[in-house]
Amino acid sequence: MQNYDDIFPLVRDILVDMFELDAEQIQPNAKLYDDLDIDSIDAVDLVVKIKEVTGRKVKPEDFKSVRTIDDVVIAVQKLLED
Amino acid sequence: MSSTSQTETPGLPKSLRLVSTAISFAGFGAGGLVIAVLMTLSRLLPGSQQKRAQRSQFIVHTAFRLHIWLMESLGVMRLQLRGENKLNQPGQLVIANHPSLIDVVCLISRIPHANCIVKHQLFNNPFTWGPVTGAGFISNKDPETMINEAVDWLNAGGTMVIFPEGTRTRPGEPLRFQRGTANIALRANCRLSPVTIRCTPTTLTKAEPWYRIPARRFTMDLQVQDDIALAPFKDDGASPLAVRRLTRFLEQYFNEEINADERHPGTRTQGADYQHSGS
Repeated sequence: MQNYDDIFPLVRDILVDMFELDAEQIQPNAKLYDDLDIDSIDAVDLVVKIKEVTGRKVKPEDFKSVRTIDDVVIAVQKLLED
Repeated sequence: MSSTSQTETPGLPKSLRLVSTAISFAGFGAGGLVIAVLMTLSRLLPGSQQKRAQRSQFIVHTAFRLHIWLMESLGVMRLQLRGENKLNQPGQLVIANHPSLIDVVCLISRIPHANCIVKHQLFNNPFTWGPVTGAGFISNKDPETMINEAVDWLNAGGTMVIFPEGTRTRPGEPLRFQRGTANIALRANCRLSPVTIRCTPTTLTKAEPWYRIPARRFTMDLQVQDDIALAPFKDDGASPLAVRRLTRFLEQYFNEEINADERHPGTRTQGADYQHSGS
């Protein structure tokens, strides 16, 4: 039901709000740590936020291997499918 | 040597100071072994984990105090600490810039019970494992665990020393702070006390080997500043935005304080001492 193009703007808006980023910086291949300066503590907060927004239970391993924006969008997509 | 330098604080010629510096380093290494032995003994003594950690921290403090005394006696350096009465408060997070290798030695020599964050490699090294675990020092391996442990320690009334840069300052470059410190401070909601450190002439930086000693005895000038109020930075605790704002503020604060120090070195009490630079 939820496709990639619907979820991408959702993820983008969350990141812009949480981490003082510009919307243009949020590209699918942008790396969270190297390009966007989102560290592991930020990532914990991000997962909490995604939990809130999607209303789904998030297991820590769902986001463990997330490195890029693309990974985040796909992880959220998976959450919504379950 | 000029005659003036003999009337006031005599400075040793460079060759002798090189020997003194070597002795200082050797002393530090030997001290490490003595500490390891003392801590092993201390672990065998009864007491709660907390008590033992405090005992071990006191051993480190005493060793560092001795080491500073040794370096001062050998004419290698001089420690000048202003605002010392602001140190040693319960639940205090002391943060400092990190120009030299011995900043932590200077600070801990004046703080009997301090916890620190140390490189996780020290927990795997057989020589340092004993002391760092004994003193309850916190590993930087996992950021989340690190922050939680630091917050717990502060909230239990303990003192911590953190260098927000995470590593020594690159000479000539502005300070860059990591966000862990702001995270800990906002989560612990603790007393946040900045200490600005100036090392003149610069020595023992990241860029120099130990034997490249300065032209004169160096001074470690530590100024304990007034606490930084956290209220203006808090929103709902430690949100990523609040952490970023506080980190930026601290970075700017230290960069300004240090540059101000450098612009007015003449106002310092030790200023006169610089004129007797033996070389």
